[in-house]
Amino acid sequence: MGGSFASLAPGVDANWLLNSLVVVIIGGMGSLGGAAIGALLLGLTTNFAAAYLPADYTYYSIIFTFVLLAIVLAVRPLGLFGRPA
Amino acid sequence: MSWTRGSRLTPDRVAGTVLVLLALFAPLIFSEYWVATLLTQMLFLGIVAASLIFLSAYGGMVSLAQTAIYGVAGFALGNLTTNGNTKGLNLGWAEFPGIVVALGVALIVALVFGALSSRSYGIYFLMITLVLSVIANLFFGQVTSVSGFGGISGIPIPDFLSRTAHPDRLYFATLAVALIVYVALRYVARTPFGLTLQGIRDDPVRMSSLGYNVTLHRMLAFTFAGFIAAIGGILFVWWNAQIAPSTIGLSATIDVLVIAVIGGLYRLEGAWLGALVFVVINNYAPDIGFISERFHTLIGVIFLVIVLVSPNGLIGLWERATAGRRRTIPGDITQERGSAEPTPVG
Repeated sequence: MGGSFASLAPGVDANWLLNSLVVVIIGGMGSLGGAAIGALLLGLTTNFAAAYLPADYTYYSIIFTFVLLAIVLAVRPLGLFGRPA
Repeated sequence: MSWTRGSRLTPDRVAGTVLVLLALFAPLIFSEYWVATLLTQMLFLGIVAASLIFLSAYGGMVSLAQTAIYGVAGFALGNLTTNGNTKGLNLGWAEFPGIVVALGVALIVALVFGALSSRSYGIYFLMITLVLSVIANLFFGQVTSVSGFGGISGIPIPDFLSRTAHPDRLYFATLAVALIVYVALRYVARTPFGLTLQGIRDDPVRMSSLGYNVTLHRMLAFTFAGFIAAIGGILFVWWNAQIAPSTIGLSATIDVLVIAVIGGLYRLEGAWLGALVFVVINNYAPDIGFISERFHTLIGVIFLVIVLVSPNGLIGLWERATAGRRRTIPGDITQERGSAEPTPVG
């Protein structure tokens, strides 16, 4: 699905892997619903940050993705829906 | 290698003495290039890796944020002490107030990172430290007033350490700092704080029910290790005279982890051993004809072989080789990790 919407090049794998790892960690491991919510949060944060930041700061949007993850893990160390093993 | 436990000549002590003597007389034995470039680099990378090994061996925390804190110290020193002609704030301070403030800034950042990540365990801890490290990298890359992608160059080094004054002085200063760091880390591991930390590594739930504040101990251990990494960052900046966001990028973060794993993730000595292997390969592999552009593959293969042959890294090989002569049982992890005294478990 991603192929029809994004471009493909060597090195893209690392990006996608990192993104999916971020999604899973935000949602919490072992939770399918968490992954969906995590993906939604990640996508919305990245794109809204890119759209609403003042023009000079558009490049900072990538930082927000990681700030989101840092905040989620600081508040809920196992991710939003993670349960202790 | 503790001298409080009698004065027996163990293989560890003999090897340690030989290596320290070898390091002290290195300028007489090795070429100037080796001493000024490879060995100095080995020593400060070893300091950073030792801070990671300290966290992992005594606290059970494999942190990927060590390079970020090391970078924060380096960037802070760069901003404070440069004087025009480069990116950054160019505050033009003298070196010594610069060092103190740079270490202070790094300490505060380490405290914040520790407070954010100390509640997480296992892969979540790994992830949050990785994220903090990526944030630090992007921050210095994007915020042009403190650095920008090109980084800061021409960072001054104190006159008495500079290579023009004497080619070996920076090496000896780095060696002295590395030895102090090694002794300090071993000392801290034996204090009540260090013993509690090892208890937390083994069983956080039990330690917490005994009344120890688990999160606070993990946070303080992280801060302490961050301070050690920051010292490595200051030495790096002096050695390299410049620092750029790519210095603390993802690949640098992984490099420190690779160094620690090659050396052995559970004994402090492994940090410098791993750093030596890494620095030598990194330096010479690109010169070997067919390897030149594939030297990352070479490092990967060596890494794989070491991990397959000895899961405890090079230090593990050494321990196996000397196992017949030691008093302790080689697999006895409490002995190897340095907690010879019984941990107070109530």
